[in-house]
Amino acid sequence: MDDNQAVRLAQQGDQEAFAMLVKAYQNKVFGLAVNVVHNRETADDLTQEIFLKAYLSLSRFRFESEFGTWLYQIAINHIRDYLRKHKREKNDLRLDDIPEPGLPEAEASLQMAEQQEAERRRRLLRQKLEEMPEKYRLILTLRDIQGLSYEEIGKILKLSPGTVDSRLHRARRLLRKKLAPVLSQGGGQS
Amino acid sequence: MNCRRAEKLISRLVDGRLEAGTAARLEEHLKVCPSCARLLADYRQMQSFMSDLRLPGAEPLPYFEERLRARLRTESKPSLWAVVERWYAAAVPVFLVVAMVLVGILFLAQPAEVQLSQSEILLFQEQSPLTEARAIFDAQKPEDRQLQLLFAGLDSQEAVRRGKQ
Repeated sequence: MDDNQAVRLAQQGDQEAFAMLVKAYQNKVFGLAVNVVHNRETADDLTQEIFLKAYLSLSRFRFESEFGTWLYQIAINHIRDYLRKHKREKNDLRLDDIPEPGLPEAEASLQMAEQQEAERRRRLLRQKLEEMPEKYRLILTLRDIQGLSYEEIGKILKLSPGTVDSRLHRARRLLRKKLAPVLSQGGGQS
Repeated sequence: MNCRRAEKLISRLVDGRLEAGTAARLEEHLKVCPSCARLLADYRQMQSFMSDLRLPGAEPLPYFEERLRARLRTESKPSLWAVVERWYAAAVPVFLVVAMVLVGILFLAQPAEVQLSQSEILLFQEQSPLTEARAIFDAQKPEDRQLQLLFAGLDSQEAVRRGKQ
């Protein structure tokens, strides 16, 4: 059964058809949420709320776009609302706060040093992304983390491909400035 | 190609969205411009860092679907207040229309003012409507008859006025 068939059945009240759509998209929606909020519990809550919203507005889905794009639009709008409401809150339990399973003493080697360095870099990158304006943070997440195409991003954010292009350019320029200390070439100088 | 133009193109280049001809011209510029070459290297490194944030096996917390089913059962049902609100919203215009129709019916059904005849007025005043007429007919002189008719006319107008009161 393809997405559109499942949506039609779900619109007629078929709970199992909606459950199929949830199964198909829950990891993608969760992945998007966790990459923006950097907290598993919050991302899980957001994902639940996104599917709940989608279910309640399913009757308004007119098959003018793909179901996945429509769901991403709901997800992005919901995550944006969350970010605006929680702009000042910094008390979330972060991924960084979840302890990684420790390696045995004997294996505390170069591999571990590399892992620690990678973790430090990820932490810095998340922090710098959080400092960026919401529109740049979202577009970078969709493109460079989620790996969506310009066309998909344009549909989700309701932007023309030209605007996607220029916004990505500005977002990268700003992120480069923020990451200058860790970029090996000494970026952000030009 | 100047650096401002090259900078924009570099962002597209790292996304693989540059046409072959434009990419070739950009490559020529990069060979002679260390600043833009450094920018390209930084953008590529940034992309690598960003892809490092990908969580390929990222899954929601356990029992996600079961928890969602439970929420859908409870939260997708309209609340009592929502039902009342919906009915209330529908009931107000219906009530107004019914009220207007009832007012119209009451207004139209109101009895018209009853016009009493001269005789009925006299009967309500417990007087015989024939007494004065007989006196007029019994008058011998025509002048007396005319005067009595005149006064009877005045009296009848007074009686109508009183009957209205």
